[in-house]
Amino acid sequence: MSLQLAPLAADVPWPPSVEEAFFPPGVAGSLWVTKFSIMVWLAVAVIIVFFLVTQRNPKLVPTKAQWLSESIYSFVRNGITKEVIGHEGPRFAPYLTTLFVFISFINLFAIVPGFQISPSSHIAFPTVLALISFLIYWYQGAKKHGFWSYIKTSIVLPAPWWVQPILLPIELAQILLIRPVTLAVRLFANLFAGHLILLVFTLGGFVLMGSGNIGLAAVGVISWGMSIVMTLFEAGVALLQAYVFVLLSASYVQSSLADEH
Amino acid sequence: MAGDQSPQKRPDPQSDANAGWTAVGYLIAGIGVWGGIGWLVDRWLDVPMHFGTLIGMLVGMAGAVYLIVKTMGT
Amino acid sequence: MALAEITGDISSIGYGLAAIGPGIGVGIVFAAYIQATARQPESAGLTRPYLFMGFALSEALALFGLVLAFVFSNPAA
Repeated sequence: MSLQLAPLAADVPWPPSVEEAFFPPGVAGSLWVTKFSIMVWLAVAVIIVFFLVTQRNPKLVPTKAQWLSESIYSFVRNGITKEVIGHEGPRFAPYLTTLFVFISFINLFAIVPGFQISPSSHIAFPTVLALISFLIYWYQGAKKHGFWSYIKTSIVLPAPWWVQPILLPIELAQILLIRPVTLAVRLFANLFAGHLILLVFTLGGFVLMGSGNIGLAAVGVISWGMSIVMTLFEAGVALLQAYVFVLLSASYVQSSLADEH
Repeated sequence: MAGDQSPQKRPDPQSDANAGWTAVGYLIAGIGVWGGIGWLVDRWLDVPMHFGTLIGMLVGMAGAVYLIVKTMGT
Repeated sequence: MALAEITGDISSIGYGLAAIGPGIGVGIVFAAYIQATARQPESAGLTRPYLFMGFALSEALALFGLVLAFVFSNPAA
């Protein structure tokens, strides 16, 4: 039995390296049209068509598709914007809903057979999304308080004067640097790690099966079972990371819309 | 205005499907046309790293989304 | 006189150490949620956003360690 399984491990890239696993070559040698740009275009097209078609002729008693799109919108609007931002929340609901649906879609590509990698496992895509959220909460803060006054309200906390020199740099770094960077890296690292785990379990299963030892082949089957479990876990992580990204963006907008201390 | 019962047959799945495909058509056409223009600018001006194609595709995508929102949005 | 020589990448040791704190942190977050829900089951829906947010914020630190282990890795010759 091991002789039949040996070809399985013949050309499995082991251990999976970051270069091979995460950077497939561009389509037709192009620098810019890669598997990831096609995935992003597909996500944009599906989202636009879905919300366009379901909200075209909205009825009072909704059809199934209309109910689905309304549920998604009300999940973000009632559950996130009204709870976290409060009164002015629904103003941001369109952006946050789009962000939530887009990030969920992008993340779920990691477990769809055929694609099996998510664009958010490259640092570029989460960086741009975090940058947009960063610009939004800075613009809202500057519009409400005025630019320097906004920085002053965010940095100066009610604390004794002798502790302020410690707090001011920390708070300045927080609003300027830590928030967008952690938004991006959280999403990126979760998807990167998830893809790597799936690679290890799947390719490891192949290597174990082809190793020629019956005990190791049994462990290979367990490894494949673990990759199935990890795929389901990855689906949960995909949706959870989208939810957390949107929740934190809403929380940052709330902190810049908050009144003076 | 109370007696204005306009005989419109609104629930028409065919027109919904048409709207969907129109949106997809706008997107593909936007990316394709402006990507093509960018690629031609690339070859004409010999832009390094084919930036012309990239910028063309981005502009095409932005224009397509704008068109969809304007013509088919509410 | 060298008795033995260990080669490899110290990033993996760093990643292992970096995962201790977030492991305890995530445990604390979920323990608080379980206790609060056990005391007052009606509050489960109210505190669920904080559960997910706390979990993701603590988990992020563990994943920074994983990513930086790859960034700073020096494959042994």
